[in-house]
Amino acid sequence: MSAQEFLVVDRLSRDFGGQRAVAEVSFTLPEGALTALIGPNGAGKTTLFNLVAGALPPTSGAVRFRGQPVLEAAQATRLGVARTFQNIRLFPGLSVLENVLAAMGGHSFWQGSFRLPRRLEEERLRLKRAHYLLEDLGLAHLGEQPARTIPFGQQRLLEIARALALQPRLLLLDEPAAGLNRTETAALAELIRRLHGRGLSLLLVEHDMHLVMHLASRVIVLEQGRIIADGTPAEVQCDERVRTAYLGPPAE
Amino acid sequence: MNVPQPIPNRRLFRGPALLLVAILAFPLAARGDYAYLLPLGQLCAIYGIIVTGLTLLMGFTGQISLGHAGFYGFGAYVGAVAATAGRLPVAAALGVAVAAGALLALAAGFAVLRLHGHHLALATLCLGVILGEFINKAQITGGAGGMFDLPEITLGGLVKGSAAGKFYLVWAVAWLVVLWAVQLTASPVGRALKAIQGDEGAAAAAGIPVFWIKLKVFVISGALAALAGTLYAFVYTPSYLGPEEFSLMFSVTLVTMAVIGGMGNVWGGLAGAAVMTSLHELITLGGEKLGIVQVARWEQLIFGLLLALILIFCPEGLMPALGGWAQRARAWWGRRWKMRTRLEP
Repeated sequence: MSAQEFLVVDRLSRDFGGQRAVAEVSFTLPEGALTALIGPNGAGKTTLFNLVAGALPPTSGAVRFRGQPVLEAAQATRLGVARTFQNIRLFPGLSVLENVLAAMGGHSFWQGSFRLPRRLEEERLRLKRAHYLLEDLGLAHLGEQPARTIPFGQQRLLEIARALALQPRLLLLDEPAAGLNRTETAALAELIRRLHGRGLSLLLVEHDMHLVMHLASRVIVLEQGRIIADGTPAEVQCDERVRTAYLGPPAE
Repeated sequence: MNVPQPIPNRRLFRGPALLLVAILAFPLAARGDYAYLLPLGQLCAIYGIIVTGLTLLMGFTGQISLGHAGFYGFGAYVGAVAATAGRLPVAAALGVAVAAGALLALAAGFAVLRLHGHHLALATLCLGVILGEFINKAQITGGAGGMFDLPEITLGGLVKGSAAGKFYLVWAVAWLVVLWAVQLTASPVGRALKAIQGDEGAAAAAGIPVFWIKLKVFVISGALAALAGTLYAFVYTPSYLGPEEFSLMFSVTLVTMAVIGGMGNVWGGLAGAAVMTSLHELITLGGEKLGIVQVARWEQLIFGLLLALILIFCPEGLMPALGGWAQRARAWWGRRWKMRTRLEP
């Protein structure tokens, strides 16, 4: 497997009714990349995201991750693709700790039916992993609290923790900085850098241009479901089509 | 900060242990004038089995079913027909009925579990109506007339004809079901079920195979309802099996049992089954004493009121509310105690 075969998006399209949200999009990501996906509202970023994560079936085209086709959301996580949501989607009835544990597997009904010492040992291991993961993100002290009661910024972090519990190779972050204040955004940027430094590949959709330009080494710009630019932050910023897409055509 | 630990076995199995003691002791108390409580206790076990399945389905996984009286009746009649027309030994008929209930739930679940909320409620309601109508109209079930003189489960003559023996038999099954459900809900599966209830999309993103797990729970709840049906047919009333027990109204009653007890844990379902069954008996007895003719109508009114009151005052259900009250009472006594000790020099 060459580095080019890490994530392959191949002529991917998705229609909603007569509306084509994503149109013939193709790109590849190498392993270890920190890439940003930007574009004006309604450009199809979240749809593209859902397609890559397997949450939506494509109308045509395909997504492959490390040589395997992405077919469905839970299956995508087994391949090593984890995601967060634009509007935070935690499990409101579960505690902070349980939200992370829920992503750690052990869903066999047969094994769950008998509380053998072996099962208890596995559960202890899961609890340990979940606890250290929360500690790493500074949430360990909230472990017992219901997820819906913790502050917004920490809910965002918890969603990232839940995604990390899947031990992914590629993490998809959908507007991770939305609704965060300046301090929280800075901490988030720090966290993303730290995760990237550990070898995790990331793809983020983001509106905060400042964050994108500082973090990402590559920026893909989407408009009306198509890629209109793809390059380093500096290249993309100078691109005439990107400026037009964001600001309108240049004044005469 | 300490690493959290799983619930210790001692705490997890305390409930089942207490239940076992209560089951063993009940027939000793229900003697003489109180012997009529034994059949009532049998019904509690039978309903408890169904409601345990419903608690897993509704309380944990968040999928409503208004058709479980249908599975209950299906199990009872498949068992009855297998044992009479099919001439199977009663234990084999029981197995066939449970397997049939599971298969029916599998087929139905494939179709209806793609639906959500009101749509799912309506689809399961239709399923219940279809099964109920079939039982009521088909030749093989004896139609509205019912079936008579089914073989009885006697465990080799051990429990033949004795109300206490029957009580122990049905409660042995119910206890095993509860013991299993308590372990399952304390395992990662319980968490996955609650995650699905919380947000199916997020659950899938957390690697949980949402549809398969929903299907498994639906199949289990259908099989448990069918199992309860066979106990009703072969143990509770082997002399007569009629369609009245499996009406649409009873599906609603089953849901009510799950809701009033509290859907967040297995004990709530059991408590709901016990409360509703006892209440039914109380209303019937009271109606007889007062000479009220149409007790059934009053019963619906009372059940409706009870459900409304519980949804208003303790929407979490009786068991969690009792827990909360107990905690508050303890805190209150604690304060009084402190005040008194402070006042005393």
